[in-house]
Amino acid sequence: MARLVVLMGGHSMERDVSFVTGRRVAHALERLEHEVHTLDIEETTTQRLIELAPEAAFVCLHGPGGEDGTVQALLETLGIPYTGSGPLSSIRCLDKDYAKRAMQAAGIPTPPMRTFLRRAMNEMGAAAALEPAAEYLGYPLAVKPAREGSSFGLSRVEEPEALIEAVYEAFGYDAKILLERWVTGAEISVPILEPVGEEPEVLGLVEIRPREGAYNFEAKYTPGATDFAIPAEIPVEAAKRVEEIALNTYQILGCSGFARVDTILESETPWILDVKTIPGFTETSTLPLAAEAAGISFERLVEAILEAAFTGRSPG
Amino acid sequence: MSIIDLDRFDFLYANRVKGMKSAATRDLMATLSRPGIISLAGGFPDTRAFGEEAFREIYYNVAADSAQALQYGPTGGLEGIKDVIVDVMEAENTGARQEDTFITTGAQQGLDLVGKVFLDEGDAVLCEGPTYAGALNAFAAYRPRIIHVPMDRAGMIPVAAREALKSIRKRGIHVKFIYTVPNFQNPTGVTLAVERRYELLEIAHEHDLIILEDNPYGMLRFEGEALPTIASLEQESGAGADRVVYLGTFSKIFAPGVRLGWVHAQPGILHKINIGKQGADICSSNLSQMLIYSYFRHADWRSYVRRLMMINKERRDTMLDALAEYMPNEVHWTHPEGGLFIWATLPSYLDATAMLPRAVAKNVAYVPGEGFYSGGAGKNCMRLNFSFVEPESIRRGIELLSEVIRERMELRGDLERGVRSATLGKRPTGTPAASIHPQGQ
Ligand SMILES: Cc1ncc(COP(=O)(O)O)c(C=O)c1O
Repeated sequence: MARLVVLMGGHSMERDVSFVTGRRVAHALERLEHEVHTLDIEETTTQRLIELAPEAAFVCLHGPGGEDGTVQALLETLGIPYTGSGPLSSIRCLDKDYAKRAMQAAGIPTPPMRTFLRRAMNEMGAAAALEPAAEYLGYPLAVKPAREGSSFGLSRVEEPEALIEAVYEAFGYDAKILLERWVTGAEISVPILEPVGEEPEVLGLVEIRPREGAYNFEAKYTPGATDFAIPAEIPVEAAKRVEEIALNTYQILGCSGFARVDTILESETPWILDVKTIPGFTETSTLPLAAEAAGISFERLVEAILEAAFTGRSPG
Repeated sequence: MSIIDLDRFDFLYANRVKGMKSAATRDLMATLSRPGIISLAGGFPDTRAFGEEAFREIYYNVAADSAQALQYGPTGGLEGIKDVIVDVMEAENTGARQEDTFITTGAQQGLDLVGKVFLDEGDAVLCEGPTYAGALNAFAAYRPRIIHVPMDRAGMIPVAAREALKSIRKRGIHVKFIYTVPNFQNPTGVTLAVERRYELLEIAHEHDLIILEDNPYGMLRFEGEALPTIASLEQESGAGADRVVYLGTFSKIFAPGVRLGWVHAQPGILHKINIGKQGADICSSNLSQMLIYSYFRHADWRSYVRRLMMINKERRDTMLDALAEYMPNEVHWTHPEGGLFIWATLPSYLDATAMLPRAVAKNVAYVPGEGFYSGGAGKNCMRLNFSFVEPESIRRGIELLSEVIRERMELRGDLERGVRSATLGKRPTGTPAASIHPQGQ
């Protein structure tokens, strides 16, 4: 039995999902007979952490401020072991611009993109470069905030006339946005677990089949709005390739403990879209579902992630 | 293999709930529980002003009659509370007959029951544009067509209402009633001018329609002259309660937590409403009715309302001052003399829904205008509540909001400039650049 802190809530758009994740994890930890304290992100959070002096922190925060290295760096400073990836890996994954550049450098297939910063729009008239960027990528294309989890601010743009609106919307969520080639195919989410002393392993491939249209925020967190297939119904060879590339991505980005790699399988190519270092743990989240399908109970999953917090993580 | 299908009865749900999607803004609203956020999004009166002592006392009085408080009651409400309602309506210079009064679980239930009684699928309802979102919700279950009539500073524009009626009638659509919130309307804070109240009655008479007068805010006037209710104008004309169905509520003059409102209408309509309510909830809570009775009979409710009004006036003044001080010139807003809300209109190219995440990130929230229209308009508008937040926070909130708006305006400018220069460099002059203005309202 250990004294633990579960960090949840936070200030991102995914605050509510984080509460669901956090409560579920806290509950499991209690059933595992730990002493559990849940903390939101507030002015007093650091003080509380110092007072409680927990043996470890289970970080259940999603999105900027919680999944981007901010909390991780603080926990490191306080000497509190914590779950999941370190500060550098966290920011590298949360910021899709960084993640994709690292992937490109390592030869991992990720859809071509162009990056735009709010600052360049303001100081350098960068909007003039939108059209060339779109021409290079081709339509349809995706416009998304670089550092936002879930699908907030994501648009699919079919034609030049709609580009500005999409850019405008995405900038509502972040000062950095991406234009990305739109790839179509089976959406496969790859949950990865790295138990102590073992190599990271794929828990199972989860195919996401939204009932209507895109897998948006609502579908993601409303039971029944999405169907999953576990394991994904794709050819064995393709499955192998997806697993291999996802594991490779996990290593390249320096992740620790667990993560979820989101991919789209377009004919032969498994495109890597992004990596979530703290994926959701709700009842409709793919990581716990895949674990369950692999015969790992929710408690066992939580325990494995916690155990990994106590061992040194790879630098990053 | 699909291992997860928690909502496996999807295929059994009624069409009317399938159509009801929680709007994207609902998800954003979920983030409002965040510590430190200044929410100008609420629609609440400040119940903290009531106080524990006063509350204990009315509860104490009710305890003497616990057996009745714990019992079912008549569907139309207890007799005593109907007397209270007659007094309350009297305070708004509206004659009411005790027997024409019917208790509902909030005015919200009144809206639902009127919808249930009058609306078949495809029937039309005329209402203000924008209008109370909760009314749109309540009516939606009966699947009517919502016809928004434009408003100006004096409320719904009668000429536009006439035109709308003419054109829907021509299409063979059955119009059932005109829905209006005449005083300090939710969401705009606008009050319907007195001549227009007469004119609406006339229009309803010509077309033989019901007027649904929803008046939760009439008594929350802190400035200017009170105007006669449409119900009172109808009575003045000698007809008694006839085509005006009047909705009142205790939510804003006392407390929304008791969930009590009322319908005042002619007996035939009340009879139908009674049948509707039997199926809905049998009767409203006796306990709530007795609390209200005890309070309105033994305490000075008028001075409580006056106290609330003083609080609200100070907060409205603070908000108007802050708006004038901080907002860019291109933003306009209403100047309500009562109620809880101010309605702000941004330049037509700004999308208040798309802007909300930025605002929330900066710790201020509002309600985007879209939800107050059925079908897309109002994107560049927002509803701001001034009753629930302390004056200092109102100031700060408006300051933050102005920053967000400026930032969005600046971004818009940057995008347009960049795109224009790129286009100019490439196309022969005279060819229009890609349209970058979204539809305004
Ligand atoms: C115009 C309008 N009608 C009806 C209602 C519902 O009030 P009640 O609390 O009585 O159900 C409200 C509540 O905000 C309102 O603004």
